[in-house]
Amino acid sequence: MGAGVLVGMFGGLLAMGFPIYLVLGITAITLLWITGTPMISVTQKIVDELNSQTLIALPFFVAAATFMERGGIARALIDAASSWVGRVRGGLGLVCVIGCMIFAAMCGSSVATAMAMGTILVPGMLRQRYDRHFAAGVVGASGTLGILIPPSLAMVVYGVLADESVPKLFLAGVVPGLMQAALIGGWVLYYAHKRGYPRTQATSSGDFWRVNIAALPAFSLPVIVLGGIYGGLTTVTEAAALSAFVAVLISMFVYRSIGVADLLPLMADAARRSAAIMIIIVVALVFGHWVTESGMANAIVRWVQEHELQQWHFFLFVTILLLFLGMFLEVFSVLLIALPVLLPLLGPLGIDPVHFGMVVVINMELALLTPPVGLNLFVLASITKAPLIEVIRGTVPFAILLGLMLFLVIALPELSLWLPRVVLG
Amino acid sequence: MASPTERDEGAAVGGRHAPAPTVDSPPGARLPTRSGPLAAADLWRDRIEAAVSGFLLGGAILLVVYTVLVRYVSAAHAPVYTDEVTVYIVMWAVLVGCGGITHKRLHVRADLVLHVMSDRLRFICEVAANVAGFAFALFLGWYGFLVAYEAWDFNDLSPTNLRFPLWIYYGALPVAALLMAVGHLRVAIALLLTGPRPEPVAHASEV
Repeated sequence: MGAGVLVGMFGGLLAMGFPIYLVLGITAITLLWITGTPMISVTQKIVDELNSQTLIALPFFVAAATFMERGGIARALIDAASSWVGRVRGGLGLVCVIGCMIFAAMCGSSVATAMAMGTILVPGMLRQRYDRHFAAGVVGASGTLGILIPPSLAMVVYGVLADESVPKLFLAGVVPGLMQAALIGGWVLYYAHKRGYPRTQATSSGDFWRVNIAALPAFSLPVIVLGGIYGGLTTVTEAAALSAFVAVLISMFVYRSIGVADLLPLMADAARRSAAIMIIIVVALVFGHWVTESGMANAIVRWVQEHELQQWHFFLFVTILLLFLGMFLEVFSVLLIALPVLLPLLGPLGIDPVHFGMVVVINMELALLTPPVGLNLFVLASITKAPLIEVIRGTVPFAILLGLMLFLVIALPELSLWLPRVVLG
Repeated sequence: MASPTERDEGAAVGGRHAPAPTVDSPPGARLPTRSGPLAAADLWRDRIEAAVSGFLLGGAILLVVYTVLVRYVSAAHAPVYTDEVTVYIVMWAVLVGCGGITHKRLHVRADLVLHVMSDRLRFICEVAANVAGFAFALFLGWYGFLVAYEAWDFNDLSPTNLRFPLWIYYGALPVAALLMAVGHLRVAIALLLTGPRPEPVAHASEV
């Protein structure tokens, strides 16, 4: 009965456009009521689970991303990257890939990365007669690096749900992230050569040093976040708070992209952005409570064992499921809906949760690019003033590259597991 | 607070051209502007909520930064309570923020099917979602209140040296639920007053 109620109610409410938190919450409460669970214990579990040091890294990273989006930091990174690779044919596209890669190492949000980089780079690319769909595709695909290259909001949420080490997950994203950037960069160079996109003017020696020195404060952010965590100086949460703090200082005093009057509204904005995720986490905890209480997790594990499912069956199923959910929902909703059911299967199937985390994150990158609901697509449509269909056309080659990346990460677990093992043992 | 920095990057669906990433007003999300005491009350509630959540989040960041810096200058003087207190402050900041996203209709949702519905059917779904949201928030608020009340009644303290009264932390949930209940009720009433409108509905907020 539980499964029928779950599917029917969940699908019905979702189709009616109920907020995700309500869909999950109403479904979970109904199911718990059917199983006779005391409701006060459910609420108690919510507040106890929210009492998590790791979870509060999320609002801190969101705050950091909110300040970084304001332009100054992104502009400095782009100027520096232009001085490195601008002279290559299609150099501005490559600047976008490199800029997104570095920006991704500061903030954990793909949409913030695409927004910050796209706002500056897309007009530049269009001025250099890049095809509009290509400009949109490069920014969209490079922006997805935001959740693969550490730090990553998606990995923080995954770490909390899977009870897995967030620093380990962050490290696991480094190699796939660099590979993905290389794949996108390679395609940019090929396409730029084919279409004859221009080179930018050579940077004089004086300008080279000027823009790189100006970018030093921006470069300090990934050093603080990653250096702090892996140098054993800070926890993930402390690194996130430091990152937000330094982002404020740099934005105010170095790049002057915000004033004192912006501080409180921006903090409130960050708190509300976090609230939109946190309220789903609250009800997902209730949903997870039902998955455990009802014995559903055990039933799924038994089913998997009885049918002798192999790892590749599981990965294929997960990819199809996440791709499907990702077409209609945004990243955190997909994670919070799917993971409580999927995570109990990792043990019986002998899958490393860190490896699985990378598979999930790359799937979520695809979700950001797949219509009809792909947040990066919307950001790009608004920046490029292009119809959504043109943006989708531009992202198709990059989505195929991401698919290839997903296959590689599934087939070669060492891509995800090697670096965490080397660094953390 | 109607800050120009609030964005909704999920501001289009279903193959339409996406409008500029807006603020607190995804297309169709904002209800017709009204003047009068209710609108003024909304404005002040929004300002207070934003100020409280922004102030708490900023304060938590400062507290963590202060602790990290002091730890490396003089470890003996670093506050030992930071980890614990930060969780309480941030949870309050974020949960208070839930009221604002409810009022502004920025809750994440899949609204694809809504776009192929008739105006009337979409209107019914919208009202139903807010009525259900109101009921769910009351439910969450009531049981959240019971948890906080029991913690207060039994003088539950955190198991750390700080011995923090847990009802203060637990209180964030019923307060957030109450703010959300008010938000859903307000939106439902506004929808009923305006009736079905041939506009797209609110969209997912980006994070």
